[in-house]
Amino acid sequence: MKAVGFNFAKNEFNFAVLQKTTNAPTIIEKNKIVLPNLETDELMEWFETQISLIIDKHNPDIISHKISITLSSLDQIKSSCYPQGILNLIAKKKGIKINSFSSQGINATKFGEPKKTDVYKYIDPIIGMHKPYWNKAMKDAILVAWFNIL
Amino acid sequence: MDKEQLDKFQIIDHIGSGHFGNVFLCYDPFLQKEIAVKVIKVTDPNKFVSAVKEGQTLDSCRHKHIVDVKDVRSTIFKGEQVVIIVMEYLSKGSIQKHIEKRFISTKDSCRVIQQALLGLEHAHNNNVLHRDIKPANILFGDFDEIKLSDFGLAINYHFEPSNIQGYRPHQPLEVIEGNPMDRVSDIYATGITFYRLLNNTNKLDFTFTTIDDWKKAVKRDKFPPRIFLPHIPEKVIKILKKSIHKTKETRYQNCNDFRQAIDRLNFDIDWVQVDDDNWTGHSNGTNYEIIKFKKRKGWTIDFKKNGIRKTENCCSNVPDDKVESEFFEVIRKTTLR
Repeated sequence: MKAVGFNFAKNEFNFAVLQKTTNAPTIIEKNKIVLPNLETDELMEWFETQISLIIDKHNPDIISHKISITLSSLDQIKSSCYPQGILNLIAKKKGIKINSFSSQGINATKFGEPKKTDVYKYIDPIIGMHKPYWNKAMKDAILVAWFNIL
Repeated sequence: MDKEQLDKFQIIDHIGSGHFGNVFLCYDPFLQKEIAVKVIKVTDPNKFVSAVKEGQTLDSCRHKHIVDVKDVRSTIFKGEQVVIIVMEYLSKGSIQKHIEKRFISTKDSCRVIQQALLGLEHAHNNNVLHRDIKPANILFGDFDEIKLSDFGLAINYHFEPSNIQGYRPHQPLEVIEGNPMDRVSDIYATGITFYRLLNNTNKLDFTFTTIDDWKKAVKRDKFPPRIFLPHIPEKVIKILKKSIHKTKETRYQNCNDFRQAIDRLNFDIDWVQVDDDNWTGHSNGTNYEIIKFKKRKGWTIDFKKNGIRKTENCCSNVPDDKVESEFFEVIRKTTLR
């Protein structure tokens, strides 16, 4: 089973493609994609093309994304919220299941650990360190995908 | 008068030709719309059609930045067995035609390459190579979107690279040396196309009489010459140089890396040349103009935003030997933020 996780931010988005195995999942691809400086309508078209390229390349069984609920600026909303809508539409058109997790939902309890366990540190020895961009933003993309193949 | 027939289509006009054959604008009486039909001559048309269809090249290459190929089949045209490639007709033509007619700005060049790379990435993800990326194979759609043409079809009908008469100036060193084409050779060809767009040059002077001369020139960065128009910002030239680097391993290794390098550029004023002394620019609804003119004490450079002179980018009494560098320095530094 293959899952893709997305995490959209102001100037970039991170994605990770995970394959379920009997042990820890395998990271097939992960990357940080920088957003081009485009007008909003052009940027939306760019998101659609860019996201479709990733989905078509890997043909996942499920897509997942982190929901951003603490955004305040219009720029953040355009670059983070809007593409989540586009992602959901692409998933619907391609007949791929999709779900989402808020930042509160990204925690260690999914792995049977106490809630206070730092999930970002917890996963390192399990899945390994995968530089570059091995940071919280990337781990959020990894985790939302991982939760679907536990 | 009866219109000439090409398979089931009526020929309206001849659009273009090359060593591959001819492209016609045709009318499809069944779909009642205009279509483009490329006629190519190959040694074994049926084998060619089978190779394309069995390779599922057409299905793998359906993308909004790739020209939609409706069908590929073998037919008789003017008494000869030929292959026809039936495609959507794009009336705005290729970027090659635009280079001939108008100035292509740095921002426009980047946009063309960005979108071409999106189409190319889709094909590469499906294990299809283009093999012949050049301005003539990059077309404009109805909404000025970019579409790559001739995808995956440039398999059998070109000359072999070992034949100097069938040269392809868009080939990298490793291919000239006899190695097979791959994704990175497509990247190189896209880079050479980028070079031609940025430099607004329709043709590369390919005057080599032997493969060795060609190879030497590519090895020494003499072909294409690393000469760039003075308005192109250094950051853009850096991306261009990496995309056409003679060492395969130093080049961008995939479309995404190449495209992301361009995506990271933060464009400000989109400058277009009006004449040698006058350029106009646009940025977010604001109009700009930069002009140079000679006075008794030297040259004056005037920079205007919505018709109002902005002194920070103006200068006067510039000597003859400095005016070009001063003028283009302003253009370069205001092209990107």
